[in-house]
Amino acid sequence: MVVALLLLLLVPLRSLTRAPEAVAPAPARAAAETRSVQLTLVATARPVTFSVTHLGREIWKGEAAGQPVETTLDLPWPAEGVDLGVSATWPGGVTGALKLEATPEGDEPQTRTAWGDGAVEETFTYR
Amino acid sequence: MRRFFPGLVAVLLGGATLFAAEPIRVVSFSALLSEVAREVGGDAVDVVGLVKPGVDPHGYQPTPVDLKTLAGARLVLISGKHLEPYVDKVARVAPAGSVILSVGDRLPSLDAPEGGHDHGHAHGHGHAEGESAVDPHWWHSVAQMRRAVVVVRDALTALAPEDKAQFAKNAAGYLARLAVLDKWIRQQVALLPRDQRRLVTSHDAFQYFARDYGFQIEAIEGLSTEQEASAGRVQELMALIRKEGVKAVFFEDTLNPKVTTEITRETGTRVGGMLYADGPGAAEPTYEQMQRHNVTTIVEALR
Repeated sequence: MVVALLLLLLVPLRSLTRAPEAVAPAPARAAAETRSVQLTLVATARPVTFSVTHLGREIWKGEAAGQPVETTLDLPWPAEGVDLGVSATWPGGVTGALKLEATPEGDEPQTRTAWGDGAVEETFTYR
Repeated sequence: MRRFFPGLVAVLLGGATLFAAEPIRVVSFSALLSEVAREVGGDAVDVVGLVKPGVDPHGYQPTPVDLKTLAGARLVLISGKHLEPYVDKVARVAPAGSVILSVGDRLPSLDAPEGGHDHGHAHGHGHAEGESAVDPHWWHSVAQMRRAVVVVRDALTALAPEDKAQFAKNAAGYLARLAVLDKWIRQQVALLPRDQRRLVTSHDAFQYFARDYGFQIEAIEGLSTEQEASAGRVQELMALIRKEGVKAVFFEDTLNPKVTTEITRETGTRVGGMLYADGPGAAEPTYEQMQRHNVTTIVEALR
């Protein structure tokens, strides 16, 4: 009887005195699918100096002088979508519009537009 | 008489000017709406803020002394969407003719998440068992805050039409600053991949923020800080944190971080920092400071 009681006591004592188990760090989330994306930029003002960023990193920059300019890049493209930062300036401080179209391979183009007086700085979301 | 008449006119005009300069007494039950009223009303309002920065509005109940401040009030500001269960009491005490403006009720609503952590029991939001709960934390959307500015501007204009131009000018200035703030938030959260914008917080206060800025919310507690976390909910969250590799868990300024700390210890994720969920804090008492603090804390922890 005494032995049985002692054995019963051992279980809670064990849990109180054992060293804490090492906690495994949270696993890294699976990376989003990378897709080939065509970007096309059109501006009403000219010349326009522009920069496009993704996750804080500049992925495209250049000048546009009236005609559309485009590039194709590989970008991680999760189902939740992608944010692209766009900044652009043009001379004279005149009102102008800037359009950035993103076309992930196999998908329809998605267009976002911003207006500004001599400059725009916007964050566009594409799904 | 010729000399007396212009003098009389001057006295009458002076009196009229004095009368016009009497500020509108505004009593506010929301720290954020106190700020809005001061920004829009400027010198034309005298704002008494009863719920101050750092006070949990879920737990606030007006004292008899608080209710006495309603004397002379022409505008009473309530956050709305069932946040203040004492509205009826305020309505009984407020002076006849005063306007009780439940600002949140003029703004679009988000319902509590389907199957979420609102368990339908009495917790101060005033909804019945089985009834859909409306999320009262509208201020985490800058777009909603901008709508609130317009609601307050229109209310002040109705009370003092002679100051319409001044209210419009003040409101326009404040709205422009809020637009800059909204743009800044979008630039900051764009540093986080959209599939990693997962916000694990103490209570379910950030749904409007999530909708505007592309986050998913996982809250330990429900819509009110007075709802306690169930053991089942904590277990469910820990499983999700492990499965999704959530980088950080956040606690709030007016809540005990014990459960948050326990979750981070058990899952190996880390404490992301303190967020202002129910309005600005005493250390950062303005709306802009609150938003900048929250966004900086979130982005730094999840990057």
